[in-house]
Amino acid sequence: MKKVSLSATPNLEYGGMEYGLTINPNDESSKNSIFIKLLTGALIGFVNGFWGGGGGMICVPLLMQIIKLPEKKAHATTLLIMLPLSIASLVVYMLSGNLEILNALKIGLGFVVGGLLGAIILKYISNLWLGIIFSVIIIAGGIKLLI
Amino acid sequence: MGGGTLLIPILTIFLSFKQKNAQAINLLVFIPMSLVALIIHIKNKLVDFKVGIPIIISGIVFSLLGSYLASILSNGLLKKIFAVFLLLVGLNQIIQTIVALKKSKNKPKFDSVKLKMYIK
Repeated sequence: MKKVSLSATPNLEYGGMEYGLTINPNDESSKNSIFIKLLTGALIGFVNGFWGGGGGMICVPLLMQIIKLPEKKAHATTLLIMLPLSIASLVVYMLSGNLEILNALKIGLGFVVGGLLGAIILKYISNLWLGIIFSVIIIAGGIKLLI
Repeated sequence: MGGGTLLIPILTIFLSFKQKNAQAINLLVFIPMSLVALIIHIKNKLVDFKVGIPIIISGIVFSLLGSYLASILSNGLLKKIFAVFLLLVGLNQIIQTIVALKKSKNKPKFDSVKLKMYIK
């Protein structure tokens, strides 16, 4: 029986969408075939290059759902994947004259300080409120950019 | 999670960066952060190189393609496409939050279970 199906359902276990891609469930080896990995890489690479980020957001669920890595391994392996991909994209952005080094350094410094502060505040805020705040900012940002 | 998804709109909306410059900065900022975390994960043997390497090979090719496509589009158009991407991420987050809310309502809280046992 040949079956190809795509699904996306929210999953709480790792706080993300659960992406399911089933290709011939009778053949276990198809899940880990080189073709599936190359296809996964293509999707993540394109998204991350085109939008200058966000590849990791889809990489973790893909590694868990399709390659069947456990959550912690999926997060760690995502970093291994996103690092060279981001460097490759950055080179293209630099060559096309879109990187302002001085501004980037200032923002990078703020990012580190903010990251540390965020990690401290995170203890005092529930996941529910975090989710609400994050979605409101994102939706407002999206609407503002469209107008 | 999602640091970059927030950084790019903040740079374009509040600091009037061009979309492409904001995306480049996001990529640059990600590199040192992920490098530190990656070293720790490799030491803890959590990184699966057998899975990672083939994904990286095709990923790099398509990263170059995606960023080249971004570089030839106008900042205005790229901004609109990014906005749609953001709205999808936001929608995903809302669904997750609602599901989390429903689940937390269905689950009895640990405190109330303890209280019942005490009354018994």
